[in-house]
Amino acid sequence: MHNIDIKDLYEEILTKKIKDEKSFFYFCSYVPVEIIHASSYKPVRFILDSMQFLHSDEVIPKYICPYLKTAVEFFIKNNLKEKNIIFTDGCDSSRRIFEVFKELNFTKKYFYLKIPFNENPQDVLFFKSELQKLFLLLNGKIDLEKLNESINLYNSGRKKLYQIFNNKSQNLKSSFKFYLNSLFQLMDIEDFINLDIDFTNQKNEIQNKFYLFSTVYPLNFIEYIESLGINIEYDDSCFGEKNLSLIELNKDDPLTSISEYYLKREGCVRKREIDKKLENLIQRYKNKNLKGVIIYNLKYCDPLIFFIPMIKEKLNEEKIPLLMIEDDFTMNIKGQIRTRIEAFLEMMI
Amino acid sequence: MNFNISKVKPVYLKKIFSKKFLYPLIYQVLLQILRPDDIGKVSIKFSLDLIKKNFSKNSKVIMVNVFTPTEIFFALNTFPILPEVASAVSANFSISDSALFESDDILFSKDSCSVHRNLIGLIKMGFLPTPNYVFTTDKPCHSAVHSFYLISKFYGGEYFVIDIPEEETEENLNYLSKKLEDTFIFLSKELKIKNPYKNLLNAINLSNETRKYMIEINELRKKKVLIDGRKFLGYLGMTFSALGSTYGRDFFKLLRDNLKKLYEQGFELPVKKKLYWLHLGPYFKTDFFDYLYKKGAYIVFEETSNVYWDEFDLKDPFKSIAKKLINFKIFSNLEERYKTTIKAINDYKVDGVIIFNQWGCRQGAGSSYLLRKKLIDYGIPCIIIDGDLVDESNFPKEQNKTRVEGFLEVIE
Repeated sequence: MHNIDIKDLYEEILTKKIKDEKSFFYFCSYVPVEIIHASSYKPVRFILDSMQFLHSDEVIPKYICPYLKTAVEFFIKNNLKEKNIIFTDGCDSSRRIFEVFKELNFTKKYFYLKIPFNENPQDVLFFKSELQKLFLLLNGKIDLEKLNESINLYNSGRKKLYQIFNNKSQNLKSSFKFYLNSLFQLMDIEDFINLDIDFTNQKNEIQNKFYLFSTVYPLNFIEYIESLGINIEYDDSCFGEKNLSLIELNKDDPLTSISEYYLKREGCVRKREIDKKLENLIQRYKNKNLKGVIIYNLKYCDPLIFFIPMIKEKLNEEKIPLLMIEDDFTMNIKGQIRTRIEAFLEMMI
Repeated sequence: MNFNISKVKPVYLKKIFSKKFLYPLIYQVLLQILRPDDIGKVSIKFSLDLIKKNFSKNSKVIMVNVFTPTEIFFALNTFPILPEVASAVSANFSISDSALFESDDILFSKDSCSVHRNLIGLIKMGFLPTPNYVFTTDKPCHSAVHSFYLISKFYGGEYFVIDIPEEETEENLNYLSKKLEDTFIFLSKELKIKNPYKNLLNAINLSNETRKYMIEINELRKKKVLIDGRKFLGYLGMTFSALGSTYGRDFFKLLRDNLKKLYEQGFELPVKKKLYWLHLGPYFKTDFFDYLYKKGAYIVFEETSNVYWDEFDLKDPFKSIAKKLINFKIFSNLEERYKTTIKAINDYKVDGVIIFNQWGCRQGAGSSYLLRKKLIDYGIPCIIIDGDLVDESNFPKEQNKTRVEGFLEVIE
């Protein structure tokens, strides 16, 4: 990756992936990439830069998740059809976007993954049977050996990323870390593991380190707030650093291992284990000696809207400074974001 | 008599509600004020008994969402509160303005469904009691999953989610029916109920009987336009809250009897245009529907009145209920909504379709634009009305009237 800007690399690969017949797109962090990989497809998390909604308003109402709406916008704008996609019932918007994609022939091979809210043994089993169906659809058969290999590969990728993120001597810029994580979700896992990363000029120079809490935010958000003097030390979002925990593999029953992992790992705000999640947040905040928490409040995101009262109460209790930025994935309010961040930083000094 | 309940402070209401001896008097007063018909009397009695049971000392308050099967709870001698229904009722009594205002302190955002914002306000203000147990299914939407969780965290109540699988397979039926039975057993132990299964059969019988009346009502409505469908948007409160109880059975039996009588008398509303209504409608006082009547346009059937489930099997009640939950056909997906709409168009000789989009309802409105397109392609005029179920300030009444006027002109 020498002499190549990481953002350029991301965009270059994304362009290729969109054309690649073997790509299998997904939007939700509950989607088990290992099964896609074990089925000889290439898992690609679909996320784009902020954009204006010029075409999608004709097919979906304004108040549907703007993150998912960017995907609809992009498909219409670029006349994309018949892509392989996995949807989930992660949220109400996700359920409906699935129908929109189907109806508009955006999908070729697709799967709708049901995720239980409960995490009891019978729910793990239920989720396992959902994963089995997915594996059968993609691969035609349950190939446990292949699945074990894929789990090991993704665990290696997670380990690599975890070590980079937690190497204190490197102290990397948050935008670099963010793109690195995004590359992990985009690239072929073998390529990511072998990726020679150039850390030159990627050192973080900003003293103000913060905790980012969100579900999903546009690619350019981190870069923008970095330009305003904010370094995100920990990204706690759907696809953030908490997803770098490893799958505890039982080679005889890898599907149960995956089912347990995706249902029980520290997941997104959809999970009902909120006390534990808030505890983790506070602990990380204290361990990393951070200055405050920033919430990117994705407009029309119900799981987040209903979670915010609880996080706000907890942060108040702990006297942790909080800045909430509400945006609809368009970043149309850059001026407002600037003013609020400047005021937030002034308040801290 | 002009009586405005929104002016009464919840603390006084609570005091009144805690005195059981006052209920016969309250009932008589309400009859004088509201002058209800026979079915109205049943729903008033139902509401008062629900309040009496849930506001009395030492009672266990159970809250459930609109899809949680109430039969299970009536069998356990409890009277489940449906906060979503209470939210709609509060709009009718003009309480929702202040409840929505109060909920802003907790939720910070107006971008979620107002029904759920409102119910949080109602609990905060004390119009709803603090729950001991909170149950919700993950269908029809996740709003209850989230808002009920918030209730349990901020106000109390043990919280449970019942996950409903997507497809009816033997495995999925077993998974869900086991969950339902576990819930039933858990609660029967908690509440120390003797012979819960015997009670359950009684509740299932009542539910089956109610279902039979509901089907008969739908059949009568096919023959003639005997009643304006707007009323059914209100009756839905009973469908959601009273299945498995004598109230539900009595309510729909009386309604069936009344409609049968009207039919036999040769009555029919002065209908010029027959409408099918999807989703719910505004629950606050509005002259929007009067405007439709003036134009001779009546709702002849509604998405929410579909009786889509089979009779429950007394030998296997939990599996039967699981089957109903998995195969729900109201507020469903695009494909199912399209199919049920086409069926209703043919069964009720519908001239046009109105889809009501509740602001912030991702699941209800998400694919509504495509549904409208499919219906228009089928050859039926269809319009989407954007509005709100409980927040009057978010219902552009005049704009919607103008749009509907244009729509009605299109209908031949």
